[in-house]
Amino acid sequence: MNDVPPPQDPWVAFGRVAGGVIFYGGAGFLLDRWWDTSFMVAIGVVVGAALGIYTVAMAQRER
Amino acid sequence: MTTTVLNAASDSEGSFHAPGPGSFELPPVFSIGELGVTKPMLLLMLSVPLIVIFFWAASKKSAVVPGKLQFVGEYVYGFVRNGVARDSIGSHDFLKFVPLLFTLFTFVLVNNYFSLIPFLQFPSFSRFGFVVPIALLVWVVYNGVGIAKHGFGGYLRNVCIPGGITGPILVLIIPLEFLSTILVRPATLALRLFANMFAGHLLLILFATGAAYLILDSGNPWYAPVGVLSFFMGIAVSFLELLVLFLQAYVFTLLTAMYIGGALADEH
Repeated sequence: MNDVPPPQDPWVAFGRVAGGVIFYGGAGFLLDRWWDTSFMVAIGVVVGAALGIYTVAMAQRER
Repeated sequence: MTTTVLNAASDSEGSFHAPGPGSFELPPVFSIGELGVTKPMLLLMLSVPLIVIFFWAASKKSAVVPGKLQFVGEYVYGFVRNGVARDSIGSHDFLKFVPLLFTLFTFVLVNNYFSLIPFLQFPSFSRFGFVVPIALLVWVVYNGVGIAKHGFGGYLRNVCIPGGITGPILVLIIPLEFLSTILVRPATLALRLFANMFAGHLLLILFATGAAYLILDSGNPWYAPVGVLSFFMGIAVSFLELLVLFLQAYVFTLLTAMYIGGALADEH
């Protein structure tokens, strides 16, 4: 029996980007509600996606 | 099923009603008190004895040189045990999870293939309510396994801190990584199975009712050739579905195994 490390979940990249968008998009949405603005949600979504992609890239480099 | 759909497609004098989400809300077959028992419920209950009887029959006469039935049973079991569980969880502790994965695989597979069996012709998991419980079960299992192995704090650390990142940016990454593992995983697991079953079946209904309408009910003979085309598209999509139905059962089981393997893994 070979003991190669188990393959990683191929959807982890999607999960990270989606997680970033949900969290930072949600934070931006709440800030919009608080400040009566309408652009924080857009910034949050972009920042979240960027952080998600960054995480994917760094985790990939580690492997 | 087919007849009710066809009636619905041509009920009001020659106008075609495209199938939609409403096509999946079947009327109850019979009622027990307040509870209306629908076709997907019956299919779900039918699938369990089917699986039990098949594998009981396949393992009843265990011979060194297997018969056809035993061969098929052992092939399916071996596929889940070696191809899914051992490769994804690792040879150290995969054996504990084979019963769960095997049950999940056969349960989803049989219910998916109900989609193409004449007269049954309905994939149970095109109803979202049936997918959610098994996705929740998977969620409880992989988180429970992780907590049992690493302790609550240790598992939380494994979940929240991805490999390869150090420094202050970690503060920004932690909530993202947490959501990715705890929230996005079960949601995509459930949605993937549901949406594939739903869309595939919708496509089949569309081509079948479209062909029936164009050939029989449209009243315009020039539409008939397009109806024939629609009919053959329906056959072609059925063959595509043969593949998709298996793949979705396989992917569901494979991802479950990978989540368990990831929860058991020591460090990133």
